[in-house]
Amino acid sequence: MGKEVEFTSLDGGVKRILAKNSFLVDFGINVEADLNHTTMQYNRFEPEEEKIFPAYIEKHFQGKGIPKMSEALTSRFREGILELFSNSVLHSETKFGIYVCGQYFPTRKRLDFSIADMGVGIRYNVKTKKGLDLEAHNAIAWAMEGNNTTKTGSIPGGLGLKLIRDFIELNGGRIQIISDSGYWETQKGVHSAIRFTAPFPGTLVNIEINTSDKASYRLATEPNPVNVF
Amino acid sequence: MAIVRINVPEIIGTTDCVATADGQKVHDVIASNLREGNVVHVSFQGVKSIITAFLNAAIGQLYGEFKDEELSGKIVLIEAKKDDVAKVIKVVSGAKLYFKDKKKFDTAQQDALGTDGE
Repeated sequence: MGKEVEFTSLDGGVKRILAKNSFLVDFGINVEADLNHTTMQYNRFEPEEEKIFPAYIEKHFQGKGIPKMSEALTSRFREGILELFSNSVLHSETKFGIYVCGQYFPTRKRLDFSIADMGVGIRYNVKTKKGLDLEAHNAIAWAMEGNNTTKTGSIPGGLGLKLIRDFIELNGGRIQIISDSGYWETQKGVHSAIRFTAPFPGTLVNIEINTSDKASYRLATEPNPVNVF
Repeated sequence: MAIVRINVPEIIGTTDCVATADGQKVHDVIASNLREGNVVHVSFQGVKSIITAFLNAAIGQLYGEFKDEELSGKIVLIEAKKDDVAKVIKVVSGAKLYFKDKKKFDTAQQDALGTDGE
């Protein structure tokens, strides 16, 4: 028998956004027209669908009210989202899909994009793959450090989150991660982490970028493609 | 020894280099050419986006199979954007570190878990 979900204290503004991005459809609330074109639609993907995910980004970036960002910023943001999605595919072991949605806030000049999975969580992975028994918020902090990775086997890992973190710090944006009973965020180079009293059954990552950023993200040195290896 | 040019989007059938399975396809083509003694020119022409998970599968894992000197000068990136070259450089240095420490990691993991691994 199915379970019944009831929303309480759902703020009007939040409810409107969730109605516009289709999240509330499954709960019997009709989709509201997104007249400002600021919403990136709520969608569920299976881990096997990582090849069709780029088309979702393409569709929801074009023709929306999302501001004209510099080419470098658009490219970095797109790449960051793809890295996050890949992270869920590789690490979450989710059997209940990967959920995405986004929202542009024109007044604040912020663009948020969230990816959630119903998987095993970062703490579990750090414990079972690395043997480190950390509290959930400390496990997230560990995963966000340098070359740390829970990847094992013949294919290396551990760069995706670092690249996103470096980009977000330069951009002046924010990353928020909830996994298990841990919460971690970084903003303006300052990291904070707390432990929740109840766990989230998976991992949720929200990246928020400053859309007024005009940085070119040029490389400090010109890479030489001949001497890479 | 021959110089063999391969094009990444042609091998995987898409300009979005995001799937680990696709990275594996590129890896297999590079690795088989290296085993035949060929120099591989890897063309990124047409690539729209490329992420580290793809590059780790395509290129990073080569460092677990070949010695550094077997790879040095044997793979050349061509028709690649500077940002993508920079990403490959990060993947290569991360892979070297990963495989250098893998034995240490594996041993530590086995000790911590009390298993003999797989």
